[in-house]
Amino acid sequence: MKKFAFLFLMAAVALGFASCKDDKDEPKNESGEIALGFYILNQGNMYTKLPGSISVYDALSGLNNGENGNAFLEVNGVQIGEEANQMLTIGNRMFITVSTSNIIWAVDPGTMRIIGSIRPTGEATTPRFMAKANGRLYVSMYTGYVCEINPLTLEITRTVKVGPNPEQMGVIGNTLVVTNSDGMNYLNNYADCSLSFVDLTTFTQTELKDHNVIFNPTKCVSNGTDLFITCMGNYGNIPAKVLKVTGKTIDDIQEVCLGTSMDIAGNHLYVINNQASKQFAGPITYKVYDTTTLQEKGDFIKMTEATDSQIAYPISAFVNPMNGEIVVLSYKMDGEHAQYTAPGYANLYDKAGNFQRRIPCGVGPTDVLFVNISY
Amino acid sequence: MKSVKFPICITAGLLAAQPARASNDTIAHTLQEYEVVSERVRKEVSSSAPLFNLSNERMKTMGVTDISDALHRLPGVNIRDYGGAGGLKTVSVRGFGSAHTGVIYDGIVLSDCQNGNVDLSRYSLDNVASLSLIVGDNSDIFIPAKASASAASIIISTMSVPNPHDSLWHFTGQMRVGAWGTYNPYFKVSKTITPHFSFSAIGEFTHAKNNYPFTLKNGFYETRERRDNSMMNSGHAEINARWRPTFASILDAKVYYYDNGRHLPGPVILYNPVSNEKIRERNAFGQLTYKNLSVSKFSFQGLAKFNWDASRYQDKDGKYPNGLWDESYYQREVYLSGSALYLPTDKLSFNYSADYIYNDLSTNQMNVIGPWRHSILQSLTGKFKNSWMVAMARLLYSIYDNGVKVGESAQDVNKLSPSVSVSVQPIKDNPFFIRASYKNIYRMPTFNESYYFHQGSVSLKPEDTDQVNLGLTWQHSSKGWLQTVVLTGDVYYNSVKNKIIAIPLNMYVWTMKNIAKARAFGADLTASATFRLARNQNLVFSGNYSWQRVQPRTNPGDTDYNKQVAYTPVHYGAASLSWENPWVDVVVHGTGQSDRYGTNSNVPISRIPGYVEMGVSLMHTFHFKKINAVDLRFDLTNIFDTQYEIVASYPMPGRGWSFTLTYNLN
Repeated sequence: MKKFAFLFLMAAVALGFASCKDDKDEPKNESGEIALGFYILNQGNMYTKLPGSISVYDALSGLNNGENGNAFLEVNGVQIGEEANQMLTIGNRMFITVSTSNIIWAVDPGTMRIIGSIRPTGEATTPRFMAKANGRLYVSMYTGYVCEINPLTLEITRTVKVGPNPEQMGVIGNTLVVTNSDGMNYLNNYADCSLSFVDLTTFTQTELKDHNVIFNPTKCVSNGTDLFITCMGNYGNIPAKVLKVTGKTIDDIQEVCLGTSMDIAGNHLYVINNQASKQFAGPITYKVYDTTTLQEKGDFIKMTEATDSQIAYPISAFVNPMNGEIVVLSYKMDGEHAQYTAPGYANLYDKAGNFQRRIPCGVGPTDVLFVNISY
Repeated sequence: MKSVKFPICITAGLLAAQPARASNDTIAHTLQEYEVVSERVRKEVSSSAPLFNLSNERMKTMGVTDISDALHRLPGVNIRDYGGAGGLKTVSVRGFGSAHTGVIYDGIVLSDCQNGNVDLSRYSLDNVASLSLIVGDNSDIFIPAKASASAASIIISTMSVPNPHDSLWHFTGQMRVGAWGTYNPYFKVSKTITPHFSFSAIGEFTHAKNNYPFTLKNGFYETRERRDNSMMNSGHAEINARWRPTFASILDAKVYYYDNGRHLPGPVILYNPVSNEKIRERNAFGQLTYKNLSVSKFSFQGLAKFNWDASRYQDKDGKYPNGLWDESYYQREVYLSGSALYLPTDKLSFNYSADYIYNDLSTNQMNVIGPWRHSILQSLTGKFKNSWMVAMARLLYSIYDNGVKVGESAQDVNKLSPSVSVSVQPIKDNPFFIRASYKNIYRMPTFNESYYFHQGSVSLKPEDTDQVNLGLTWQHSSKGWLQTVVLTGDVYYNSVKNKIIAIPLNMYVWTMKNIAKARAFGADLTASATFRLARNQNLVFSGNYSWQRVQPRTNPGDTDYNKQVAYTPVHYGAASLSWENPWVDVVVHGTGQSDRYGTNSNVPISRIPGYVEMGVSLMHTFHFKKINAVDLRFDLTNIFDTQYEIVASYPMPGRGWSFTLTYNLN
């Protein structure tokens, strides 16, 4: 079983191999890049102590390592830890943040083998999400900091204090935008939530706080020029919304639509709207927007009833920037409620939104990383 | 069943001359205990609902080390034990859930309105005269209404004050030292000052470092770690006083204070051993019990209790606002109860009890401010008893009035809960019984479930349960080498409706709903036997085994439908074998559970392996000059250093030891 799952992993080790694989059936675009497949990061479930795992989908063979598969454990012999959040490749390394275990793994993206790890100490601990710029890795630390890490030496080079409970981040130009959710302050209605704008040269930040506009921001995506955040609201009378951030003042924040998760590829923003609060509950929508005009351009996936193309409980969508293919992660449902202790699945659609296949994965799928080769 | 009922006025003198019966010293006990049956049939055998009793003497014979060990020796019990001296221990019986288990301490039902669980780790066995488990209704009907308001009850009775004719000073001083920095001194002083007044005073303290080693498994690797941040300082003091205004009436007063500060090691988290959690719990109460057992057909008892409970949980971590998470809960309770017993004939008895309970809670963790609840419970019971049958029927009527100072309150509730039980002795003069019982009972949503921030739901209804039990019991005594044998076997079926579970709205927001259903069926077997090896030498065996299937049954398509509820083993059991002799008493004991799952859907990766844990106890008593006695006891627990968990990621201690020295004056 191991051999097939790592077909493309082995092939991705060196760019030079790609020219040998000039096969008509491989998914690729005109410039010759190949989509080899993707990894799914499964969080597991902290409360029932189900461990996190990594699922693998091989695009060439169409096979995957199943809902009990765990590439990280199988290759390394150790568990990934508790509450894994994100995978990010920078150079020839892949980093994985695991919050509750307070560890950032550095692994080889082709073989999943551990290269090293970072275990933060002191005040800046509990790594959440990552962003990259200028060959450096930036990690948000839930205790209220952002750390800059050298991906080769695995050392924390600089640290900056930001707002409380920072989550996802995005880069525009020379600025790192950090969503400070203040998530642990729910008894006080996220009173100190804000956005931090970190200058990547001086590594200092300015903070923007406005409870009417920015309320519990947690998600962030950027294509380098356009940056969007999702504010999750209070799961009650304040819904989750997507906002565009163009500058550091409150007038530079513009509401785009209601939405709970998003991804960006080129000049398209893909938004899923699956509101938690009863007040705003309604049919789940999958809409794509133009990142410049903010115009809604229609649905980005097509679903047919009573088939596997239907999604029970979407977590988020991930778009392969190379070929526009879309992966939507979903939990299974028990009656009306999402199953948090059962394996989920990933639905794969082509760039026109046509359903391709359903791929089983582990418990609590949360992130997707595409393995593409360009030559 | 030949039974003789003594008129109450003579009983006091009679019982004082029967030292063999543990803790029978005065007329403080209810009618049932005065029945002298020709073969002295144990209550566990004649009870019409499953009753299992561990007396202080029996616990020593079985080598019971602490309350968690005692609970493992009871069938049908599922204990959630978080490990070590300071670990939280809650009990659920026959798959009902721990909020369905009532805990009765010296006659009064303990409440925890906040989370519905009584943490049994706070009770040390040193002053406990008996620990019982009743599933369904107590065959003793002269009890407060609330005592019949749980699907199952754990009854803890402490040792009484000295009897009215014993005017000696009684003193006990004890020191226990154990592994992982455990020190546990205990003292008790008691005396009868006048025939109308006796008292006892108890003090007990435990300091435990609790930093036991355990084996951590990570993938294919194993390392040895130590539990960190696990220290506990805990103590309790009690004063009991008894007045006997007339020979037929008793007024008992108790004042109790408990204080426990412990550091919580938390679950074992891979790569991150740091924990800064701690919790401080305090409990103070005063209770008065008045019993009037008159010679005419009426008897009366009244109870009054005031209870105060404080719990403060703290965690230090930069992720919290201001770097600190602080949760505090203060509960207050006023409890009043009156019971009347009427005996129109020697075969019939009737009981009417009425309880009024007021509870309130202050906390910083809820959607509302100042939740409170008035509860009025009334029970009417009839019992018929002749030479070969006992039959009992009870109706419990409960009214709950919920309210809050600020915010939306939970619904008011009223419920009628019937129960019946019968026990038949088909063969004359042979202590073989067949028993059957049915009970319908509920449990109220806790304040946490109704009001907890974001999760609570004020529209929650109580959980409803129905239970049916069928059992056979047999006792045999002889003067030969097989002195006593007691065997019990019960099969049961339960169903729970409107089960309260947390439903996720999304990853971050969960809410409580009454939507789940579960059913349980199983069998409980117990056996005990005493073999006489020689003069002054006995071999005593005691064992219990349970088979339990507890199945979620909410919707047939669910991923957990008909699987086994999390943390419930299908098989579990315990056994002890002790050799009592004039030199050193030796007890070998063991408990075990089969595999369990951390999830209701029994996902294979959430499997928690089964285990067997064994221990050895050695005991001896030295007597000096008739009035002094010194007990020495040595315990080796988990002798094979079995590494196991009861709750996932909370490893249990490996091999440990403790040494206890007790001095008794009189």
